[in-house]
Amino acid sequence: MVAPAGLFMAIFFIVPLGVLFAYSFGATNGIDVSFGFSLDNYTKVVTSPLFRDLIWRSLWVGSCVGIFSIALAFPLAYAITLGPLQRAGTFVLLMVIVSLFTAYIVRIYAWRTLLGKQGAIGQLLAAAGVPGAPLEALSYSKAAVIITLVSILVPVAVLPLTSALSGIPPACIAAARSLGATAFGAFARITVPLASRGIISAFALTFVIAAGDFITPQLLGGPQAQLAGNAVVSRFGLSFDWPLGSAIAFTLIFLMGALLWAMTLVLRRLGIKDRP
Amino acid sequence: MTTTTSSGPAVAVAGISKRYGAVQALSDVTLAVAPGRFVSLLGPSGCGKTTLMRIIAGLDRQSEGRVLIDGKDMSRTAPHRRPVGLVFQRYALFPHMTVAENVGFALRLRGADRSATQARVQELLDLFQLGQFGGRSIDQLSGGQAQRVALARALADSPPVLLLDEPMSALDLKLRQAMQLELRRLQKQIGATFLFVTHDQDEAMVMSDEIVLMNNGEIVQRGTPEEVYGRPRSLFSARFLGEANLFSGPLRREAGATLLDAGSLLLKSHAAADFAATKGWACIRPEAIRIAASSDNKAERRPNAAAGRVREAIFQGAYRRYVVELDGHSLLVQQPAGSDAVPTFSEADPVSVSWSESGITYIEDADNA
Amino acid sequence: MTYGRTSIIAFTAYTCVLLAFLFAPIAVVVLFSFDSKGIAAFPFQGPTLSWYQAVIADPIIRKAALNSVIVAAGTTLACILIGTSAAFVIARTRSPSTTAFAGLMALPLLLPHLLLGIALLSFFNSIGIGLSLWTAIIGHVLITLPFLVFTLSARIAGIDPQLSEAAATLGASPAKAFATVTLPLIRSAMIGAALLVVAWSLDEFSVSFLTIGSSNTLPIIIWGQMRAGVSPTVNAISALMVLATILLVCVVHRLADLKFR
Repeated sequence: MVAPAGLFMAIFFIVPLGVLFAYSFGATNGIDVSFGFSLDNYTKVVTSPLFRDLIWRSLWVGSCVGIFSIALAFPLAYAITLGPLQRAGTFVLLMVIVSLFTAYIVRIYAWRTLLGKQGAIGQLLAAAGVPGAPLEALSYSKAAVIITLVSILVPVAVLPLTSALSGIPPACIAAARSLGATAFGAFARITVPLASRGIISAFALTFVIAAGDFITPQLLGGPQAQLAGNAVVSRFGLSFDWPLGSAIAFTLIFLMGALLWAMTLVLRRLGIKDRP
Repeated sequence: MTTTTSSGPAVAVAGISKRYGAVQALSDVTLAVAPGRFVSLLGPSGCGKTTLMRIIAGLDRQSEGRVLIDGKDMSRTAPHRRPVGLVFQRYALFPHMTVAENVGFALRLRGADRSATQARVQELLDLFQLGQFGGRSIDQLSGGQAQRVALARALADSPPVLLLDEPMSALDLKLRQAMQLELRRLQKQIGATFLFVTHDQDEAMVMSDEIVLMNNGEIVQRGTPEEVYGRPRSLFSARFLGEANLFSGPLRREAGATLLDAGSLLLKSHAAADFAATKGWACIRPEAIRIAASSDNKAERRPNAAAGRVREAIFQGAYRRYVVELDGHSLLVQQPAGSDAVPTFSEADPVSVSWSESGITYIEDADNA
Repeated sequence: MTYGRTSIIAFTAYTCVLLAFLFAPIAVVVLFSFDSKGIAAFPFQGPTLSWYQAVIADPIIRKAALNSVIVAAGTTLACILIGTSAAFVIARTRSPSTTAFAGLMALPLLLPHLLLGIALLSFFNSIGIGLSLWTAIIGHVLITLPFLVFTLSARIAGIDPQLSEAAATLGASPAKAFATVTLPLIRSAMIGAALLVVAWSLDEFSVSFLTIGSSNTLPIIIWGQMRAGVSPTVNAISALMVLATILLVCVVHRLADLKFR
């Protein structure tokens, strides 16, 4: 029964990842890629300030996007599960899903029409007589990348949060209140810990997508806000250095995994035992 | 309606064992059920009764042993080729079909023509007082209606054997009692063999021609309800069916009678002459004990009688129950209520109790459970 | 629990603002797709359908749209063929190997699409397979298969396994029981999941970009036009893609109250 899917995953998932990993120890002469057992590529990634900066920035942007997405998504998820908007929940969730399934590239394009140098927001503000200086900081910047990614990934965060919060029996919260907890106390001591599994998976999903993105920084980032993904793509494109690109990618993935792992360890120390 | 080609058993299992990994669910079960009988497989949960039923239906495969249905060896036959119907505990009605489509499912599979199917479905719906519900969807039914649809569906193709897996467990008590009588009447009417799985001893006694009592994957005792209740052959039987006062002690024979010495109590019966054990148990059902007022509770020891004091008196509507404190024993006594002929007692009243020899059943000390 | 007026107003306002944050940029794009000026900039000059006419007339865009449809159709078909049996296994069996299999199936969801894309690119390159729509389909299947498998297995797990047994005791062979009982019960979930795979595949960019070679899909056209500078047809293409997404999601919603995750 598992044969078709298992076979597909073996041939087109496990083997390709293995080939890519093997490439990261290889070399290129500009025309062909050769396999090898050299750590040169990883040495280059670790020692070059350029790649270190890019990878560090990817992790930083990914974490910011993850945290902001959850911060924005949580009140919505709460409102439609335990909060006062349960009746409208189906409709709100449908809107969220429409947004989720709207093409990534279209949403990035849409934000560029708003945030870009000729963007609509800039024009509106200019027409209203607001000086353009803060706007320059907004377009083609790390802030533009983060705003766009948060807007794209809020729907991704809403779904696990909604499913976690809808699993909390309202009686638990009522019981805490009847035992003397304030509304905030019940929220902090009951609701958030019980939703921790959803919070962790929301963070993991949004963090992974944002930290691994190359489209948004390419189209909205400008030179100061490029991420590691851009370096990878350009190694697989114009500059044709697949082994180095592969080494950058695996270094990034390794550090992303380490960060998520460290986060779950810390949370487990704090007494939250769910794994993402 | 029911076709039985031979006069042998409708269902027989021989030497059936079933293991799930290290767990022995059934060990060496042999049982033959005569055609047209209503037989209950009774036992606590986990005793293997449902597994046995599923093996008969072909839904589980036995580790060892044979299944014969209407004389034919069907040990390896796929479930859809076995001439048995099955009513599931949670009914398992098809949610994407109407009531009528559910009932007609087996007939449509067999390729019966449209009008014949329709006629048979209507006949069954009428039989189960579901005449107007044919077009309803399953989620519009009450528990009792869903249960009747499940029965009608299983009976549509007139299987000679119907297996029922605790079909009443989801119904409330009143409905369950009504359905018990209805089901028994139905079985007599259509004449099929019913094999009814239940953990409810009252249900088994109300409905069955025969009870097969199971425990730990084995058949413990089988017989009519009267036999199994009245003459338990093991401590398990005595305790599982109804309530029992049980006394243990050495046994001795004396002038054709068997006596059990339980300290302050002496139990004596002529009925158990063939009982050879030297140590064992005596079982007396609470309703077999007479209770009377007494002034002296220091009476000398006589067989089948004792004196004591009422510790608890409980009124339960149709009857009264007393827990009587004897010297070193306590005794559960049950008396019909509502009759002026039966005296009543209160807590701390001194009483004497007695029972007739026929109320005593001796049990071997085999399973010291 | 009951909520005061203030909290109802606060939550409603917040929800509206957040939905606006999600949809306002898209709304602006759709708005400008009808603007005769041709760039996404205020003021609005006047309604026109000329950009849509340009989109329909452009042979490159038409070819890309056709490619998008071909890739989406191929992806969806392959997902259903490969994923249905896997969904049954995950829903109906409990064993360490099933857990491991489910973990493997879920793994692509937890990795950046960039990594999957370059892995496939390296793989195809190393065994000498040229990039084409076929390789793009494989990339799309890799991304959407986990989604289909887990959506479907959630539905299958919700079906009482005794229904198949009941069908068997009523005389249905395993094939017949599947056709008359199981399939009708999962049909809506299958169609729903398949339509979401279609939506996902139509919108997919990063893996297509890395595995499709010289062919185009609509998202790749948008990417190309954006990098080349603002082209007015991008607004119209985007608006059409948004419309397709809304239609697909609404059909799925009407079809089956699918639980997402």
